[in-house]
Formats: sequence, C-alpha cells, structure tokens
Amino acid sequence: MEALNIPQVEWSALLPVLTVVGAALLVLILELFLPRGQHTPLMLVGLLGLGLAGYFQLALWGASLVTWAETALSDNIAVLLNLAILVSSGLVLLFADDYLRARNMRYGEFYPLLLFATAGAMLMISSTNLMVVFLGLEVLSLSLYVLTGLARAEVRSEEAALKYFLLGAFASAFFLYGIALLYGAQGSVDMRVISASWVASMPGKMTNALLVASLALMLVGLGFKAALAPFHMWTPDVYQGAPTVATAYMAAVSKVAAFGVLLRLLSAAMPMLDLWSPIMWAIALLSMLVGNLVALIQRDAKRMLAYSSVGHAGYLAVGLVSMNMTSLTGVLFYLVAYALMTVGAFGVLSLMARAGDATTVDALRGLARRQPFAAFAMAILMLSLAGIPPTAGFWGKWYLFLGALEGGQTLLAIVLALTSVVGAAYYLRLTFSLYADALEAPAARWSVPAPMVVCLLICLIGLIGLGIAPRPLAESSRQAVERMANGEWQVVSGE
Amino acid sequence: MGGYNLAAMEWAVKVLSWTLWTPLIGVFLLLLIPRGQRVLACAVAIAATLTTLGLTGVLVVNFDPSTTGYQFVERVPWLPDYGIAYLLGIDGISLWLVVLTAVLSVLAVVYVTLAPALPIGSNTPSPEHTRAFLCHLLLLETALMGVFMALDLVLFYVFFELTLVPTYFLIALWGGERRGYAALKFFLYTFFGSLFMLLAALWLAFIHYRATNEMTFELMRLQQFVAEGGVPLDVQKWLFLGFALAFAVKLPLVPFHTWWPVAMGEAPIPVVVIFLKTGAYAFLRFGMPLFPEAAQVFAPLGMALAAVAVVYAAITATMQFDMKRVALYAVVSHAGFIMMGLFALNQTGLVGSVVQQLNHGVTMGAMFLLLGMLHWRTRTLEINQLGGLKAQMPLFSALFLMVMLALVALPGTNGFIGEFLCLLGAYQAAHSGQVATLWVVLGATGTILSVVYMLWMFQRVFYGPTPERLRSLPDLTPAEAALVLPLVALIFWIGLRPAHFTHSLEQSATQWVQQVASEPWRVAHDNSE
Repeated sequence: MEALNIPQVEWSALLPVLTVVGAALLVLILELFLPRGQHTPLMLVGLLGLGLAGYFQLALWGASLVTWAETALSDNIAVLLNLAILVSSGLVLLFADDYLRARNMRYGEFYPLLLFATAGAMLMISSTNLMVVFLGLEVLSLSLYVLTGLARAEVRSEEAALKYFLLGAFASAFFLYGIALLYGAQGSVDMRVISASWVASMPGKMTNALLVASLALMLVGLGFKAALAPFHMWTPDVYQGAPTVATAYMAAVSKVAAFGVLLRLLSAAMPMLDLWSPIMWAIALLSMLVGNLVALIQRDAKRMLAYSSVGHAGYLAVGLVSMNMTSLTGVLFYLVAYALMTVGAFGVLSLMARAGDATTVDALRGLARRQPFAAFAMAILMLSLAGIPPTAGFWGKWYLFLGALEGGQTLLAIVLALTSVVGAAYYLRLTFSLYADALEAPAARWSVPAPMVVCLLICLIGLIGLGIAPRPLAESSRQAVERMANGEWQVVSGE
Repeated sequence: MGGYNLAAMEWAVKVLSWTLWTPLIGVFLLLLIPRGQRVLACAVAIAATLTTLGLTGVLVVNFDPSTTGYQFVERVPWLPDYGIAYLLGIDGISLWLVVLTAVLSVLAVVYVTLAPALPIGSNTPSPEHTRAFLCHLLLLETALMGVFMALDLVLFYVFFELTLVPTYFLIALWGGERRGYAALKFFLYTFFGSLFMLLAALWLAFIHYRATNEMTFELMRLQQFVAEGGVPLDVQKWLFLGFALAFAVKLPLVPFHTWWPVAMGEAPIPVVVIFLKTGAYAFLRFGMPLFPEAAQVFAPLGMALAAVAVVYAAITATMQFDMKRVALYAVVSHAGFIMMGLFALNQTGLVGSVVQQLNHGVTMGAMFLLLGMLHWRTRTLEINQLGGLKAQMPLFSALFLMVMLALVALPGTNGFIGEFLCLLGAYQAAHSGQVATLWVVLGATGTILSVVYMLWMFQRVFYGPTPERLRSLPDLTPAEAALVLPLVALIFWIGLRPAHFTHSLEQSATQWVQQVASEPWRVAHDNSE
C-alpha cells in the first residue's frame, strides 16, 4: 500500500499567526473562569501572545519561505507589516481596559476578538494565495464588525456595526468574485499568476477580459478595506460610532493589512500596469482630495481622523501607482509610521471616555489643562500626521513624494504636497483646541492611566526616533521590496 | 569653489554641533525642573543661551576671514542612499547671523525673566508657564541656528520647518486676542511656501541624479553641477521660482507678506525679537548661488518687487494705529531693502544686504524689546491711547529715540550703512543696465517714508498731552535698560566701524559674486567703482 504523501511543511512560516490564534483561544477559555470585569489577566496573556508572536516573526527576518503547498509564505514584507500589526494590537490591548471600564463595557470578548482580528490581518499578509488572503480578510472583518458594535447600549455603535457589516459583506463578495474570475482565467488562485497569460495587445481575448474583471473586483474589495475613495463612505460613520479603542485598532490594522495585500497584488500585476495604473491614479487623487478637504469641515475629532485616514490612504495609493523601489519603500515606511500615529491619536481620544466620550473638537478644549501629557503627545502625533519634520510622518511622505517624482507622477506629487498643507490645517486646528485655554486657571487634573502613558511614550519615541534616524526602517523596507521584486523564494514542499 | 577649511576641522570638529544643540540640551534640562519654579527655569535658560553665545564666540575667534569657502564643516551621512547628509558649515555671511541669533536669544530669555506677573492674555507667560515658554524659545533658537548652518538642502528644509513648530505654539498659547487664527495662518503660509522649495530641491536632485547617477542634496555639489551647465535655463527658472516662493513668503516680501503682521502682531515679543530673517538668508545662500542665471533673469522683477515692497509697506506703516504694527510694517519695508541689495547681484549690494539683515536683528530687536517693556506698563500699544511719554519716562524715550534713528538710517548708525550700501549696489546694477533705475529711485524714497512713519509715531506717543491713566508711569529699571544697551551699543558700533563686521564678510562676498554674477556684469560693476 502506498504511503500517504504528506507535503513537507515549514512550521516557522506560520508560527507567528498560530501563536496569536493560540493566545486568542487561551484568552477565550480563560475568560470563562474569571470573575466578570477582571480583565487584567486577559490583557497580560494577550500581550504575552503578541510578544511571543513578535519574537517568532523577528526570527523570520531575511527568510523567504513559501510553504504549506504554497499557501503560506514569509518574506521581509510580511515580517515588517506583521510586526506593525502586532505592535498596534499590543498598544490597543494595553490601553483598552481603562476605556472599556469607563464606558461600562466590561465585555471579556473584546480581548479574544482583538486577537483573532490580529491573526486574520497577519494571515492576509502572509500569503499570496488569494483564498488564504480571503480567509484572513474575513477573520479580520468579522471580528471588527463585532468590535464595532461592542457598545451594545448605544444606537450609534449598533448602527455603525450594521453599516460596516452590510457594506463589508458586499466588499468581501466583490473580492471573492474577483478570485473566482481569476481562477476561471488562470486555473489558480495564487495572485502571482494573475498576469501570467496577460497579453496587452489582445483586448478581445477571453482570459484578458476575465483578468481585467478579476483585478477590478479585487481592487474594489481591497479599496473598501483600505478606505480609499470612492469606497470610503463607511469610514466616518464607523470610525465615529465604534468604541474608540476599536476605532484605534481598525484604523491602524485594517489599513496595514489591506495595503499589504494591495502591494503584493499590484506588484504581481505589474505587466498589466497600463491597465490599472490610470484607475489607481484616479483613486489616489480622489482619496487625497476628498479625504483632506472633507476632513477640514469636520467638527468631531473621530470623523476628522476618519476622513484624514482616507487622505492617508490616498498618499499610500500614490506610492502604489508610482510602483518603483523608492515609492514601495515609502509605502512600507508610511504604513509602519501611520500605524503608530493612528493608534496613538485614537488612544488619546479614548481618554475622553471619562468625560462622556464626546470627541468633538470643542469637547477636547482644555485637554492640555486636564491632562498635559496626553495633550503634548497628541500635539506630536498631529505634527507627525501632518508630515512635519523631524517626525516619522515627514519621512514617510518624503519617500512617497520622491517615489512619485521618480515614477513620473508629477501631478500626484504636487497634489500630495498641497493636500498636506490642507492636512496641516485641520491637524493644527485640533492641536490648537487642545491648548486653546491652556493658560486659564488650572483645572482639575486627571491622571493619565499608566498603560496609556506607556503606549503614548512608545508612539512618541518611535515617531521621533524614526524622524531623527529613519535609516534602519527605510533600509529594511527597501530590502523587503527588493527581495520581493527579485522573487527570491525558497519553496519548501514535498513534491 | 573654495574647499573646506581642513585645518580648522582638526580641533573644531564639533563646535558647530555644540552651538547648534546647546539650546536643545537646555530644553531637556528645563524639563527636569518642576513646574512653577520660575526663577530656576529662567536661570537654566539664561545659562543655556549664554553657553551658546560663548560657543559662537569660539566660532568668531577661530574664524579665518582670509579664506573662502565654508569653515568648521561637519559631515555625517544621514540617509546615504539619497545622498542626504548632516552637513554643517558657516562662512563669513552666516557667521554673524549665528552670533546675532545667539545674542538675541540671550536677550529674549532675559526679557522673559524680567517680565512682571501680568494677567493671562497679556502676551507674557505667567510664572507657572514660564518653563514651557522658555522650552519653546530655546527650541526655536536651535532651529534658527540650524537654518543658518545647514549646507544640505534636506537638512536645511528640516530646520526651516522646525522653526514653525515652536513658533506656532508660542503664538497659539501666548499670543494676543486672535492667536488661534494668527498661529494657523502663520503655519499654513510658510508651510505652503516651503513645500515648493522641497519640490524644487527634489527636482534638482533628480536632474543631478540622471546626469551623474548619484543622488545628492549637498549645496556645494549641486551648485557646481548647475554652474557647469547641468541644468538648462528653462528648468533653472522654474527651480528658482520654487525656492523663491518659499523664501519670499518667509521673508516676508510683498505681496506674500500678509501673514507677517497678523502672526507677529499677535506673537509674544521674544518671538518677534529672535525670529530673524531666515528668508533673506535662504535667498542668498540657496536661491541665488544655486541658480545664478535664473537669478539674473529675474533680477529686474525682483528689484521691482523689492522696491514696491519698500514703499508699499512704508505707506502701510504710516497708517497703522498700533506701535507694534508700525514696527512690523517697518520690518516688511526693510525686507525690501535687503532684497534690493541682493538682487543687485554685486558685492556692494550683497554686503549691504547682509549688514541690513544684521541691522534688522539689532535694531528691530531693540525696538520690539522696548515696545514690550512699554506694554508691560501701559498694557496697550495703541498710538491714540498714548501720549506725553517723554515726560513720564525719560530714559525709555532716550533709548527709543536712538533705536528709532537707527531705523530711519541716520548716518552714524548701522541703518545708514546697510541702506546706503543696498541702494548703492542697486544703483550700480541699474548703472550697468541690469535693472531699471526707476525702481532704485522708488526704493530710495523708502528712507524718507520711514522717517515719516517713525517720527510721526514718535511725535504722537512721546509728546503732547499725557492721558490721565498714564500719569506716574515708572521709567525703565536699570536691568531693563541694561537689556537694551548691548543692542544700542551694536547700533553705533556697526554704524561707526562697519569694517569690524564686513571684514570677515569680504572673502565670502567676493566668492558669492563670482558665483552669482555673470562675466559682463562683473566688469560693469568693477568699472563703476
């Protein structure tokens, strides 16, 4: 009798994801045995899991593995972005407890959901097999739908969750349909084959038509997740309605995951560049303009950051359209910096839970008097989001800008620069409102919870550190992109 | 192109860095002090600025005026892939601007120390917030130092932008009534302008990259590349305009000046005092030497704009109701003189414009310090609310008179040297047919107009009947007078012995003219001397 042929697998490639899943399951079980509202052990186990995953992930630096019958991979892009995801998740875990308690939302399921979402996001980046990517996307999305509606008592939160769910389901369907069409055209669901039979000069060819439709549908699905205009309509409502800690998480992690996949997909679709680059060009332009201009008139800080995240997605899309080493380096650099900035900014907003969770710009007035450290951190985060040196945000924009010029996208580069000025306007307006009456008679001081202090310190040190010494991250990003471009894969399989 | 002064590098490896970062070290020390310890905070800040001043003294003593090129050069790769370096260096032109920044910073900090406890909203930090105020001020000093020292376009941009951050907060927190609007307007205007500089710098670096396959943002190398004909004139013109827009906004040059009276009108006095003419410096360090041919093409336009700026701002100054705003428009008017000197593109004009930049710091610094001290007493600077101060505050009036006379360029004061040389340079340029004489004549009327607005203001404020509420105003205390005296001394020192300062400028100026002016032009200039 012939022995069953089990493909040889390399566990280490999936070890980080598996660790996070393991931690999630452990937290899920642990929660049953803890008294209600006792969340510190959950947080600690979660953090431990994320830390371990981060360690395993770091160990994979430099490896280019494709394994599990080519459904899982690990390359430097995956390492870099997964680490960004892990750090963002860890930071949110760290400061979430205080917010949940202040809002009277002591739901233990927050922790496992967050960890599952993290695993999903990591999975999205750790594969070129679109079915696996879809799996990751769904794990991430489903967890996020629940997290959005976590404030059960609030209509706004429920509305946001429903809206997010309905639109998200549509987007997922688009994405899935795209995968199906790709399979129809190429007989494979691996994104690396997407342009294998693409012949630019034959528009009437059947596979060509399928490929075009497939790519278009997948762009819609991912554009939704990445909050690119015109698929951004859900963003302000969901960002505003969701509990602030969930917003912090989704703003950072979904963006990193979605752009990670977009980066891989569009690099794989390089031969079809002429086809998709005008579309991405328009999307980038629209996102930058809509995001930044509409953010200008928002009264609520969460909505403002939501629209600004559309603008940031636009900047990242500029990097994808330009499609050269510098611009892709910029995309990776920007994603890491953006994750830190967003988590920090929403983290500060989550401090407002104690003041009735109002996050209008007016409600933020006087934060500098009440919690000077938080206001200071917010000011730096805003400067970084606006791209003012010496912060990480500046270098992120720098690479994208440089890449756009190098790629001949002069108009996009100029729009990027101009919309940055618009961005500076609303970021500084927010900063000003924090400090507006900072000099009035001292108000009652509220202490900033210790986990939040740690989180903000990590963000600030990270952002200013990267602002002063951008080289290590820039070099790593560049290496990651170069390796992907050279396609150096070490395939581990038993065939 | 002069090389680096290698001999000076040996021992002085880090003098520039120390000068640059000492204020920042002061910021960290300040953060260690508990809030509300006003005296201690002031002492630390004074110590930090004095140390910086001492270090600039080291620079002056060791500066070798007989060589061209940059001295005390430091170079550390920053982002080598893109040819970005932490590259510092000064020449005879930036030397004095660095020293002046250090001097003014000391005075600004002492000014804050002397400030009486005033209610909130009076542009003066309360004891509790003095530490925060000083932190921003010291950060601003570092940023300004960086602007004057950076020789890498990206590093320069970083410092150029960094000046915005502390200034924004100083205005937004301690500004006047409309501080929010003023701070935002200030930030957006200058941020918008400087982005075009960044765009132009990148474009230039790309052209260099395509030609040599090497990325660099180093001023000297790019300058040489352009000088060797690496950039066609059409492109040069656009690049020059990109740089010029950034610098003209910062300068502030009419018609890009509208943020200036708004922002600085609301800004606390120490900010106005140390917020030096980075725009003019940037023009002469980057804009013109990088694109000499474009600079020549645009010289007539620049000269016209500058002359119009002189007159327009002077007329506007005449119509202001507030002493601070009169002085602010005087700044805009004087910026016009600086640009006239620069766009003359000859040695006389350049020396004049550098002297005028120094004057701006010295004279305007003294003027704003005095206005601030007056504001402590009267709580208003509106001209029609004041009167008869001469009888109330004789010492103040005497000092103010001296500063004012320097401002209207009375011979014997620094203002005369600066404006005279600027106008002479401009006239030489007109004589050689490069710019229209009309503009020089127009600009020259600015000296008369400055007398009009200054003397008229002086008359209304210092003479005439004293309003009831201003009876028994205390005169300047000895400490306050001592704060202004160094600047008054400088006014006469520069005015009577300008050679002490222009001596170290000579070589750098000559080199600058060689880089910027074309052959026939230099001949014309030589003939006219």
